[in-house]
Amino acid sequence: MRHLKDSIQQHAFNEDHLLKSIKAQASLDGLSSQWAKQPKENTMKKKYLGWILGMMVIAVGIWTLNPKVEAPIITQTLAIVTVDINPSFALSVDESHLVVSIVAQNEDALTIDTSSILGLPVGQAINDLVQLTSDAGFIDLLDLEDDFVVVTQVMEDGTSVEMMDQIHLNLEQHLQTDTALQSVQVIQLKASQVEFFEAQEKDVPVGLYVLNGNVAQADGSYLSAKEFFSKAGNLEALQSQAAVHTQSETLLRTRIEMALTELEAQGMLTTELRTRLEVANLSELQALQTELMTTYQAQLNSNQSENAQGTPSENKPIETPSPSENKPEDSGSPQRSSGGSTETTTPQANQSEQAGQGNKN
Amino acid sequence: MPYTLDDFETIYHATYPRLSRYAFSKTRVYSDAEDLLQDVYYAFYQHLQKTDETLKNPQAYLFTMMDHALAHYYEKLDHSASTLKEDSPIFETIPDELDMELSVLQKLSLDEIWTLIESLKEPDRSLLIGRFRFDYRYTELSELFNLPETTVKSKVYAAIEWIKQHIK
Repeated sequence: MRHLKDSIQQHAFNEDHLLKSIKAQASLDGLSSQWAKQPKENTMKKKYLGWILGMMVIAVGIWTLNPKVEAPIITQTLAIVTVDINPSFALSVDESHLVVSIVAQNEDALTIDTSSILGLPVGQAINDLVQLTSDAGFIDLLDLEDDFVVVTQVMEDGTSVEMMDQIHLNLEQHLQTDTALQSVQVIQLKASQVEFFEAQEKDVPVGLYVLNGNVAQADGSYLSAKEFFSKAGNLEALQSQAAVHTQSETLLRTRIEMALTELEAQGMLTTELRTRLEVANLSELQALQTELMTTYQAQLNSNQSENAQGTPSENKPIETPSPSENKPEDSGSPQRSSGGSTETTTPQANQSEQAGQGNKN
Repeated sequence: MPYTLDDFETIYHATYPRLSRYAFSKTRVYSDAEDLLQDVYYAFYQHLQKTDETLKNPQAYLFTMMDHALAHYYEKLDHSASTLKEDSPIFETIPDELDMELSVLQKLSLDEIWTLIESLKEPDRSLLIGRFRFDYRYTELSELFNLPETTVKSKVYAAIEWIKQHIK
Protein backbone atom coordinates (compact mmCIF):
# COMPACT_ATOMS: atom_id res chain seq x y z
CA MET A 1 0.00 0.00 0.00
CA ARG A 2 2.97 2.22 0.44
CA HIS A 3 3.23 2.00 -3.33
CA LEU A 4 -0.31 3.25 -3.65
CA LYS A 5 0.26 6.12 -1.27
CA ASP A 6 3.48 7.07 -3.00
CA SER A 7 1.70 7.09 -6.32
CA ILE A 8 -1.01 9.38 -5.00
CA GLN A 9 1.47 11.63 -3.24
CA GLN A 10 3.47 11.91 -6.41
CA HIS A 11 0.58 12.62 -8.76
CA ALA A 12 -2.35 14.18 -6.93
CA PHE A 13 -1.94 17.89 -6.34
CA ASN A 14 1.69 17.67 -7.37
CA GLU A 15 3.15 21.01 -6.43
CA ASP A 16 6.00 21.06 -8.92
CA HIS A 17 3.88 19.74 -11.74
CA LEU A 18 1.28 22.44 -11.29
CA LEU A 19 3.96 25.12 -11.15
CA LYS A 20 5.37 23.88 -14.42
CA SER A 21 1.92 23.97 -15.96
CA ILE A 22 1.43 27.54 -14.87
CA LYS A 23 4.78 28.57 -16.28
CA ALA A 24 4.06 26.77 -19.50
CA GLN A 25 0.73 28.49 -19.83
CA ALA A 26 2.35 31.83 -19.07
CA SER A 27 4.94 31.16 -21.70
CA LEU A 28 2.29 30.33 -24.27
CA ASP A 29 0.45 33.52 -23.39
CA GLY A 30 3.62 35.56 -23.72
CA LEU A 31 3.70 36.52 -20.06
CA SER A 32 6.89 34.89 -18.91
CA SER A 33 9.10 37.37 -20.72
CA GLN A 34 7.61 40.22 -18.73
CA TRP A 35 9.37 39.08 -15.60
CA ALA A 36 12.72 39.37 -17.34
CA LYS A 37 12.10 42.98 -18.25
CA GLN A 38 11.78 43.98 -14.67
CA PRO A 39 14.80 45.02 -12.61
CA LYS A 40 15.45 42.88 -9.60
CA GLU A 41 13.79 44.29 -6.54
CA ASN A 42 15.44 45.05 -3.30
CA THR A 43 16.05 41.78 -1.53
CA MET A 44 14.59 43.25 1.66
CA LYS A 45 11.17 42.42 0.30
CA LYS A 46 12.07 38.80 -0.16
CA LYS A 47 13.66 38.73 3.23
CA TYR A 48 10.43 39.75 4.85
CA LEU A 49 8.10 37.88 2.57
CA GLY A 50 8.03 34.75 4.70
CA TRP A 51 7.56 36.79 7.84
CA ILE A 52 4.67 38.64 6.29
CA LEU A 53 3.09 35.42 5.13
CA GLY A 54 3.29 34.00 8.59
CA MET A 55 2.04 37.10 10.32
CA MET A 56 -0.92 37.52 8.10
CA VAL A 57 -1.90 33.92 7.80
CA ILE A 58 -4.83 34.16 10.16
CA ALA A 59 -6.57 36.61 7.92
CA VAL A 60 -6.72 34.04 5.20
CA GLY A 61 -9.79 32.06 6.07
CA ILE A 62 -11.90 35.08 6.85
CA TRP A 63 -13.23 35.50 3.41
CA THR A 64 -13.62 31.85 2.68
CA LEU A 65 -17.27 31.37 3.39
CA ASN A 66 -18.87 34.36 1.81
CA PRO A 67 -18.56 34.60 -1.92
CA LYS A 68 -20.52 37.82 -1.84
CA VAL A 69 -17.75 39.67 -0.11
CA GLU A 70 -15.57 41.71 -2.34
CA ALA A 71 -11.83 41.50 -2.05
CA PRO A 72 -11.06 43.00 1.34
CA ILE A 73 -8.55 45.66 2.17
CA ILE A 74 -6.10 42.99 3.09
CA THR A 75 -3.14 45.29 3.29
CA GLN A 76 -4.49 46.75 6.53
CA THR A 77 -5.53 43.58 8.30
CA LEU A 78 -3.56 42.78 11.41
CA ALA A 79 -5.88 40.71 13.56
CA ILE A 80 -8.98 38.56 13.49
CA VAL A 81 -11.82 38.72 15.97
CA THR A 82 -14.77 36.39 15.63
CA VAL A 83 -18.21 37.00 17.11
CA ASP A 84 -20.60 34.10 17.72
CA ILE A 85 -24.11 35.04 18.77
CA ASN A 86 -26.00 32.61 16.70
CA PRO A 87 -25.17 34.44 13.59
CA SER A 88 -21.40 34.22 13.50
CA PHE A 89 -19.04 36.80 12.04
CA ALA A 90 -15.31 37.23 11.58
CA LEU A 91 -13.89 40.73 11.76
CA SER A 92 -10.57 41.79 10.30
CA VAL A 93 -9.00 44.54 12.35
CA ASP A 94 -6.24 46.94 11.38
CA GLU A 95 -3.52 48.50 13.47
CA SER A 96 -5.88 51.23 14.68
CA HIS A 97 -8.38 48.63 15.94
CA LEU A 98 -10.75 49.52 13.14
CA VAL A 99 -12.74 46.85 11.34
CA VAL A 100 -11.61 46.67 7.73
CA SER A 101 -13.57 43.59 6.72
CA ILE A 102 -16.39 41.51 8.04
CA VAL A 103 -17.37 38.08 6.83
CA ALA A 104 -20.43 36.00 7.59
CA GLN A 105 -19.45 32.67 9.09
CA ASN A 106 -22.79 30.92 8.74
CA GLU A 107 -26.07 31.20 6.87
CA ASP A 108 -27.82 33.21 9.55
CA ALA A 109 -25.11 35.83 9.38
CA LEU A 110 -25.58 36.15 5.63
CA THR A 111 -29.05 37.56 6.24
CA ILE A 112 -27.70 40.59 8.11
CA ASP A 113 -26.43 43.71 6.38
CA THR A 114 -23.17 44.50 8.14
CA SER A 115 -21.91 47.22 5.85
CA SER A 116 -22.35 49.83 8.57
CA ILE A 117 -19.79 48.01 10.72
CA LEU A 118 -16.86 48.71 8.46
CA GLY A 119 -14.51 51.37 9.75
CA LEU A 120 -15.73 51.21 13.34
CA PRO A 121 -13.52 50.48 16.34
CA VAL A 122 -13.71 46.77 17.05
CA GLY A 123 -15.53 47.17 20.37
CA GLN A 124 -18.17 49.40 18.88
CA ALA A 125 -18.43 47.10 15.88
CA ILE A 126 -19.18 44.13 18.13
CA ASN A 127 -21.78 46.18 19.99
CA ASP A 128 -23.42 47.16 16.72
CA LEU A 129 -23.34 43.56 15.53
CA VAL A 130 -25.22 42.51 18.64
CA GLN A 131 -27.75 45.25 17.99
CA LEU A 132 -28.12 44.28 14.32
CA THR A 133 -28.60 40.67 15.33
CA SER A 134 -31.29 41.75 17.74
CA ASP A 135 -32.94 43.93 15.11
CA ALA A 136 -32.98 40.93 12.79
CA GLY A 137 -34.85 38.91 15.40
CA PHE A 138 -32.19 36.37 16.29
CA ILE A 139 -32.06 37.58 19.86
CA ASP A 140 -34.17 39.92 21.96
CA LEU A 141 -32.18 42.26 24.15
CA LEU A 142 -35.25 43.33 26.06
CA ASP A 143 -36.75 40.03 27.08
CA LEU A 144 -35.93 38.06 30.18
CA GLU A 145 -33.92 35.38 28.48
CA ASP A 146 -30.16 35.81 28.64
CA ASP A 147 -28.28 36.09 25.37
CA PHE A 148 -24.66 35.06 24.97
CA VAL A 149 -21.98 36.48 22.73
CA VAL A 150 -18.70 34.64 22.31
CA VAL A 151 -15.89 36.94 21.21
CA THR A 152 -12.75 35.11 20.14
CA GLN A 153 -9.43 36.73 19.39
CA VAL A 154 -7.28 34.68 17.07
CA MET A 155 -3.73 34.84 18.32
CA GLU A 156 -0.99 35.52 15.85
CA ASP A 157 2.67 34.77 16.12
CA GLY A 158 5.21 37.25 17.36
CA THR A 159 4.52 40.93 17.25
CA SER A 160 0.77 40.93 17.45
CA VAL A 161 0.46 40.11 21.16
CA GLU A 162 0.43 43.80 21.97
CA MET A 163 -2.13 44.32 19.27
CA MET A 164 -4.32 41.65 20.82
CA ASP A 165 -4.06 43.33 24.20
CA GLN A 166 -5.10 46.63 22.68
CA ILE A 167 -8.08 45.02 21.03
CA HIS A 168 -9.02 43.48 24.34
CA LEU A 169 -8.85 46.88 26.02
CA ASN A 170 -10.93 48.46 23.29
CA LEU A 171 -13.60 45.82 23.78
CA GLU A 172 -13.48 46.30 27.55
CA GLN A 173 -14.15 50.01 27.14
CA HIS A 174 -17.22 49.36 25.04
CA LEU A 175 -18.44 46.69 27.43
CA GLN A 176 -18.65 49.42 30.05
CA THR A 177 -20.56 51.91 27.93
CA ASP A 178 -22.43 50.37 25.02
CA THR A 179 -26.03 49.38 25.53
CA ALA A 180 -26.24 46.27 23.39
CA LEU A 181 -23.09 44.76 24.89
CA GLN A 182 -24.35 45.52 28.36
CA SER A 183 -27.55 43.64 27.62
CA VAL A 184 -25.85 40.34 26.91
CA GLN A 185 -23.36 38.01 28.52
CA VAL A 186 -20.04 38.35 26.75
CA ILE A 187 -17.57 35.48 26.86
CA GLN A 188 -14.09 36.34 25.66
CA LEU A 189 -11.84 33.57 24.39
CA LYS A 190 -8.53 33.29 22.61
CA ALA A 191 -7.81 30.91 19.79
CA SER A 192 -4.63 29.86 18.07
CA GLN A 193 -4.10 30.08 14.35
CA VAL A 194 -4.27 26.33 14.16
CA GLU A 195 -7.65 26.31 15.86
CA PHE A 196 -8.81 29.06 13.56
CA PHE A 197 -7.92 27.16 10.41
CA GLU A 198 -9.22 23.87 11.72
CA ALA A 199 -12.50 25.57 12.50
CA GLN A 200 -12.59 27.07 9.03
CA GLU A 201 -12.01 23.69 7.48
CA LYS A 202 -14.79 22.12 9.50
CA ASP A 203 -17.15 25.04 8.91
CA VAL A 204 -17.54 25.60 12.63
CA PRO A 205 -17.44 29.08 14.16
CA VAL A 206 -14.03 29.34 15.79
CA GLY A 207 -15.41 30.36 19.18
CA LEU A 208 -17.45 27.19 19.32
CA TYR A 209 -14.54 25.20 18.00
CA VAL A 210 -12.38 26.40 20.89
CA LEU A 211 -15.11 25.16 23.19
CA ASN A 212 -15.13 21.94 21.21
CA GLY A 213 -14.90 19.60 24.17
CA ASN A 214 -17.86 21.35 25.71
CA VAL A 215 -20.17 22.00 22.79
CA ALA A 216 -19.49 19.03 20.52
CA GLN A 217 -22.25 16.48 20.58
CA ALA A 218 -22.22 12.77 19.92
CA ASP A 219 -23.50 13.17 16.39
CA GLY A 220 -20.68 15.57 15.51
CA SER A 221 -22.84 18.69 15.55
CA TYR A 222 -22.22 21.62 17.84
CA LEU A 223 -24.37 23.38 20.36
CA SER A 224 -24.83 27.06 19.70
CA ALA A 225 -23.34 29.45 22.22
CA LYS A 226 -26.79 30.13 23.57
CA GLU A 227 -27.69 26.48 23.89
CA PHE A 228 -24.44 25.76 25.65
CA PHE A 229 -24.41 28.66 28.09
CA SER A 230 -28.10 28.44 28.85
CA LYS A 231 -27.45 25.19 30.68
CA ALA A 232 -26.83 25.67 34.36
CA GLY A 233 -23.21 25.44 35.38
CA ASN A 234 -21.64 25.66 31.94
CA LEU A 235 -20.87 29.35 32.17
CA GLU A 236 -19.36 28.99 35.60
CA ALA A 237 -17.25 26.05 34.44
CA LEU A 238 -15.57 28.24 31.85
CA GLN A 239 -14.59 31.03 34.17
CA SER A 240 -11.03 29.76 34.36
CA GLN A 241 -10.41 29.80 30.62
CA ALA A 242 -12.55 32.72 29.52
CA ALA A 243 -13.34 36.24 30.59
CA VAL A 244 -17.05 36.49 31.26
CA HIS A 245 -18.90 39.77 31.40
CA THR A 246 -22.41 39.61 32.76
CA GLN A 247 -25.06 42.00 31.61
CA SER A 248 -25.48 45.39 33.23
CA GLU A 249 -27.45 45.43 36.48
CA THR A 250 -29.29 48.52 35.35
CA LEU A 251 -30.34 46.96 32.07
CA LEU A 252 -31.35 43.72 33.74
CA ARG A 253 -33.52 45.70 36.13
CA THR A 254 -35.07 47.46 33.15
CA ARG A 255 -35.80 44.16 31.45
CA ILE A 256 -37.52 42.82 34.54
CA GLU A 257 -39.51 46.02 34.90
CA MET A 258 -40.68 45.69 31.32
CA ALA A 259 -41.74 42.13 31.95
CA LEU A 260 -43.64 43.16 35.06
CA THR A 261 -45.34 45.98 33.19
CA GLU A 262 -46.46 43.47 30.64
CA LEU A 263 -47.80 41.23 33.35
CA GLU A 264 -49.75 44.13 34.77
CA ALA A 265 -51.18 44.85 31.36
CA GLN A 266 -52.56 41.33 31.47
CA GLY A 267 -54.24 42.07 34.74
CA MET A 268 -51.80 40.38 37.04
CA LEU A 269 -50.74 41.55 40.44
CA THR A 270 -47.07 42.36 40.59
CA THR A 271 -46.83 44.33 43.79
CA GLU A 272 -44.68 41.84 45.62
CA LEU A 273 -42.41 41.35 42.64
CA ARG A 274 -41.94 45.07 42.26
CA THR A 275 -41.10 45.39 45.90
CA ARG A 276 -38.47 42.72 45.56
CA LEU A 277 -37.18 44.37 42.40
CA GLU A 278 -36.67 47.71 44.11
CA VAL A 279 -34.30 46.35 46.72
CA ALA A 280 -32.63 43.56 44.76
CA ASN A 281 -28.90 43.42 44.19
CA LEU A 282 -27.45 41.78 41.07
CA SER A 283 -27.65 38.20 42.28
CA GLU A 284 -31.18 38.76 43.51
CA LEU A 285 -32.09 40.27 40.18
CA GLN A 286 -30.78 37.20 38.43
CA ALA A 287 -32.79 34.99 40.74
CA LEU A 288 -35.88 37.06 40.07
CA GLN A 289 -35.22 36.85 36.36
CA THR A 290 -35.00 33.08 36.53
CA GLU A 291 -38.10 32.90 38.65
CA LEU A 292 -40.10 34.94 36.17
CA MET A 293 -38.86 32.86 33.26
CA THR A 294 -39.80 29.63 34.97
CA THR A 295 -43.17 31.00 35.91
CA TYR A 296 -43.71 32.00 32.35
CA GLN A 297 -42.97 28.47 31.23
CA ALA A 298 -45.45 27.12 33.74
CA GLN A 299 -48.08 29.48 32.45
CA LEU A 300 -47.30 28.59 28.87
CA ASN A 301 -47.71 24.90 29.62
CA SER A 302 -50.89 25.60 31.45
CA ASN A 303 -52.30 27.60 28.58
CA GLN A 304 -51.39 24.94 26.07
CA SER A 305 -53.08 22.33 28.17
CA GLU A 306 -56.20 24.42 28.45
CA ASN A 307 -56.24 25.14 24.77
CA ALA A 308 -55.95 21.46 24.02
CA GLN A 309 -58.95 20.79 26.24
CA GLY A 310 -60.90 23.66 24.76
CA THR A 311 -61.50 25.29 28.12
CA PRO A 312 -60.87 28.94 28.81
CA SER A 313 -58.22 29.85 31.34
CA GLU A 314 -59.93 31.77 34.03
CA ASN A 315 -58.11 33.31 36.89
CA LYS A 316 -55.99 30.35 37.74
CA PRO A 317 -53.25 31.04 40.24
CA ILE A 318 -49.73 30.48 39.12
CA GLU A 319 -47.40 28.90 41.55
CA THR A 320 -44.13 30.61 42.06
CA PRO A 321 -41.37 28.04 41.94
CA SER A 322 -39.03 27.77 44.83
CA PRO A 323 -35.41 28.76 44.14
CA SER A 324 -34.43 25.11 43.96
CA GLU A 325 -36.90 24.60 41.15
CA ASN A 326 -35.49 27.34 39.01
CA LYS A 327 -34.03 25.68 35.98
CA PRO A 328 -32.75 28.06 33.33
CA GLU A 329 -32.44 25.24 30.86
CA ASP A 330 -36.19 24.75 30.95
CA SER A 331 -36.63 27.71 28.72
CA GLY A 332 -39.25 27.83 26.09
CA SER A 333 -39.02 31.19 24.48
CA PRO A 334 -39.81 33.44 27.36
CA GLN A 335 -39.74 36.74 25.62
CA ARG A 336 -42.00 39.10 27.45
CA SER A 337 -42.38 36.83 30.41
CA SER A 338 -45.84 36.53 31.82
CA GLY A 339 -45.80 35.08 35.28
CA GLY A 340 -45.80 36.23 38.81
CA SER A 341 -45.59 35.43 42.45
CA THR A 342 -47.87 33.30 44.52
CA GLU A 343 -50.72 35.72 44.49
CA THR A 344 -50.42 36.45 40.80
CA THR A 345 -53.20 35.23 38.60
CA THR A 346 -53.72 34.99 34.89
CA PRO A 347 -57.08 36.21 33.75
CA GLN A 348 -56.84 34.54 30.38
CA ALA A 349 -54.56 32.92 28.01
CA ASN A 350 -52.82 35.23 25.63
CA GLN A 351 -52.52 33.26 22.48
CA SER A 352 -51.45 36.12 20.33
CA GLU A 353 -48.44 36.65 22.54
CA GLN A 354 -47.53 33.02 22.41
CA ALA A 355 -47.61 33.18 18.67
CA GLY A 356 -45.06 35.94 18.80
CA GLN A 357 -42.56 33.98 20.84
CA GLY A 358 -41.15 31.89 18.13
CA ASN A 359 -38.35 33.73 16.48
CA LYS A 360 -35.68 33.27 19.06
CA ASN A 361 -32.95 30.83 18.26
CA MET B 1 6.01 45.80 -10.83
CA PRO B 2 7.47 45.08 -7.40
CA TYR B 3 7.54 41.31 -7.84
CA THR B 4 9.78 38.87 -9.62
CA LEU B 5 9.24 35.33 -10.78
CA ASP B 6 11.22 34.19 -7.75
CA ASP B 7 8.74 35.98 -5.53
CA PHE B 8 5.89 34.23 -7.23
CA GLU B 9 7.52 30.85 -6.70
CA THR B 10 8.25 31.66 -3.06
CA ILE B 11 4.65 32.58 -2.46
CA TYR B 12 3.49 29.59 -4.46
CA HIS B 13 5.47 27.09 -2.41
CA ALA B 14 4.58 28.80 0.85
CA THR B 15 0.87 28.70 0.18
CA TYR B 16 0.36 25.59 -1.91
CA PRO B 17 -0.09 22.97 0.85
CA ARG B 18 -2.81 24.89 2.62
CA LEU B 19 -4.52 26.24 -0.46
CA SER B 20 -4.62 22.83 -2.15
CA ARG B 21 -6.05 21.22 0.95
CA TYR B 22 -8.59 24.02 1.20
CA ALA B 23 -9.64 23.67 -2.45
CA PHE B 24 -10.03 19.93 -2.02
CA SER B 25 -12.07 20.28 1.16
CA LYS B 26 -14.42 22.76 -0.51
CA THR B 27 -14.92 20.97 -3.81
CA ARG B 28 -14.50 17.39 -2.62
CA VAL B 29 -13.63 16.55 -6.20
CA TYR B 30 -9.95 16.07 -6.91
CA SER B 31 -9.92 17.12 -10.55
CA ASP B 32 -12.05 20.21 -9.92
CA ALA B 33 -9.83 21.26 -7.06
CA GLU B 34 -6.72 20.95 -9.18
CA ASP B 35 -8.31 22.98 -11.97
CA LEU B 36 -9.27 25.69 -9.54
CA LEU B 37 -5.78 25.75 -8.09
CA GLN B 38 -4.25 26.19 -11.48
CA ASP B 39 -6.69 28.94 -12.40
CA VAL B 40 -6.13 30.80 -9.16
CA TYR B 41 -2.36 30.61 -9.23
CA TYR B 42 -2.28 31.63 -12.84
CA ALA B 43 -4.47 34.63 -12.14
CA PHE B 44 -2.21 35.45 -9.22
CA TYR B 45 0.80 35.15 -11.50
CA GLN B 46 -0.80 37.68 -13.83
CA HIS B 47 -1.72 39.93 -10.95
CA LEU B 48 1.83 40.07 -9.65
CA GLN B 49 2.99 41.14 -13.06
CA LYS B 50 0.48 43.97 -13.27
CA THR B 51 0.35 45.31 -9.77
CA ASP B 52 2.34 48.30 -8.61
CA GLU B 53 1.63 47.66 -4.97
CA THR B 54 3.25 45.32 -2.52
CA LEU B 55 0.88 42.83 -0.99
CA LYS B 56 1.31 42.60 2.75
CA ASN B 57 -0.65 39.41 2.85
CA PRO B 58 -0.27 37.41 -0.36
CA GLN B 59 -1.72 34.29 1.20
CA ALA B 60 -4.90 36.07 2.21
CA TYR B 61 -5.12 37.47 -1.28
CA LEU B 62 -4.79 34.00 -2.75
CA PHE B 63 -7.47 32.60 -0.47
CA THR B 64 -9.75 35.44 -1.46
CA MET B 65 -9.13 34.63 -5.10
CA MET B 66 -9.85 30.99 -4.35
CA ASP B 67 -13.11 31.94 -2.69
CA HIS B 68 -14.18 33.88 -5.73
CA ALA B 69 -13.22 30.93 -7.92
CA LEU B 70 -15.19 28.62 -5.66
CA ALA B 71 -18.18 30.95 -5.87
CA HIS B 72 -18.16 30.65 -9.64
CA TYR B 73 -17.60 26.93 -9.31
CA TYR B 74 -20.61 26.53 -7.04
CA GLU B 75 -22.74 28.58 -9.39
CA LYS B 76 -22.03 26.17 -12.19
CA LEU B 77 -22.31 23.12 -10.03
CA ASP B 78 -25.53 21.21 -9.75
CA HIS B 79 -25.84 21.25 -5.99
CA SER B 80 -28.11 18.29 -5.96
CA ALA B 81 -25.24 16.27 -7.28
CA SER B 82 -23.00 17.42 -4.49
CA THR B 83 -25.09 15.74 -1.84
CA LEU B 84 -23.66 12.31 -1.93
CA LYS B 85 -25.92 9.38 -1.43
CA GLU B 86 -25.05 6.03 -0.12
CA ASP B 87 -25.07 3.96 -3.24
CA SER B 88 -23.23 0.89 -2.23
CA PRO B 89 -23.64 -1.65 0.50
CA ILE B 90 -21.81 -0.87 3.68
CA PHE B 91 -19.16 -3.34 4.58
CA GLU B 92 -19.61 -3.56 8.28
CA THR B 93 -16.47 -5.57 8.73
CA ILE B 94 -14.05 -3.26 6.99
CA PRO B 95 -10.91 -3.21 9.09
CA ASP B 96 -9.90 0.10 10.64
CA GLU B 97 -6.49 -0.11 9.05
CA LEU B 98 -6.38 -1.62 5.63
CA ASP B 99 -3.70 -4.10 4.83
CA MET B 100 -0.88 -1.85 3.76
CA GLU B 101 1.17 -4.53 2.11
CA LEU B 102 -0.59 -5.45 -1.05
CA SER B 103 2.20 -7.02 -2.95
CA VAL B 104 0.27 -6.94 -6.17
CA LEU B 105 0.55 -3.17 -6.21
CA GLN B 106 4.30 -3.41 -6.06
CA LYS B 107 4.29 -4.91 -9.50
CA LEU B 108 3.28 -1.64 -11.09
CA SER B 109 5.08 1.62 -11.36
CA LEU B 110 3.74 4.65 -9.56
CA ASP B 111 2.60 6.06 -12.87
CA GLU B 112 0.69 2.91 -13.76
CA ILE B 113 -1.05 2.88 -10.40
CA TRP B 114 -1.96 6.50 -10.89
CA THR B 115 -3.48 5.75 -14.25
CA LEU B 116 -5.78 3.27 -12.55
CA ILE B 117 -6.61 5.71 -9.80
CA GLU B 118 -7.51 8.35 -12.33
CA SER B 119 -10.00 5.99 -13.92
CA LEU B 120 -11.92 5.54 -10.66
CA LYS B 121 -15.31 7.18 -10.47
CA GLU B 122 -16.14 9.91 -7.99
CA PRO B 123 -16.30 10.11 -5.05
CA ASP B 124 -14.17 6.98 -4.75
CA ARG B 125 -11.18 8.62 -6.38
CA SER B 126 -11.35 11.73 -4.24
CA LEU B 127 -11.84 9.68 -1.10
CA LEU B 128 -8.70 7.78 -1.93
CA ILE B 129 -6.82 10.99 -2.61
CA GLY B 130 -8.14 12.65 0.52
CA ARG B 131 -7.05 9.65 2.55
CA PHE B 132 -3.57 9.23 1.11
CA ARG B 133 -2.67 12.69 -0.20
CA PHE B 134 -3.96 14.83 2.65
CA ASP B 135 -4.00 12.14 5.32
CA TYR B 136 -7.57 12.80 6.26
CA ARG B 137 -8.87 10.36 8.83
CA TYR B 138 -11.96 8.37 7.98
CA THR B 139 -13.98 10.39 10.45
CA GLU B 140 -12.85 13.58 8.75
CA LEU B 141 -13.66 12.22 5.31
CA SER B 142 -17.02 11.19 6.65
CA GLU B 143 -17.75 14.78 7.68
CA LEU B 144 -16.30 16.24 4.51
CA PHE B 145 -18.24 14.04 2.12
CA ASN B 146 -21.34 13.78 4.26
CA LEU B 147 -21.17 10.01 4.26
CA PRO B 148 -21.23 7.52 7.10
CA GLU B 149 -17.77 6.54 8.22
CA THR B 150 -18.41 2.90 7.38
CA THR B 151 -19.36 3.91 3.86
CA VAL B 152 -16.18 5.92 3.51
CA LYS B 153 -14.14 2.97 4.61
CA SER B 154 -15.98 0.62 2.31
CA LYS B 155 -15.51 2.91 -0.65
CA VAL B 156 -11.79 3.28 -0.03
CA TYR B 157 -11.47 -0.43 0.45
CA ALA B 158 -13.51 -1.14 -2.69
CA ALA B 159 -11.39 1.29 -4.69
CA ILE B 160 -8.23 -0.50 -3.65
CA GLU B 161 -9.78 -3.85 -4.48
CA TRP B 162 -10.79 -2.52 -7.87
CA ILE B 163 -7.22 -1.43 -8.56
CA LYS B 164 -5.90 -4.80 -7.49
CA GLN B 165 -8.32 -6.58 -9.78
CA HIS B 166 -7.28 -4.49 -12.73
CA ILE B 167 -3.66 -5.24 -12.08
CA LYS B 168 -4.38 -8.93 -12.18
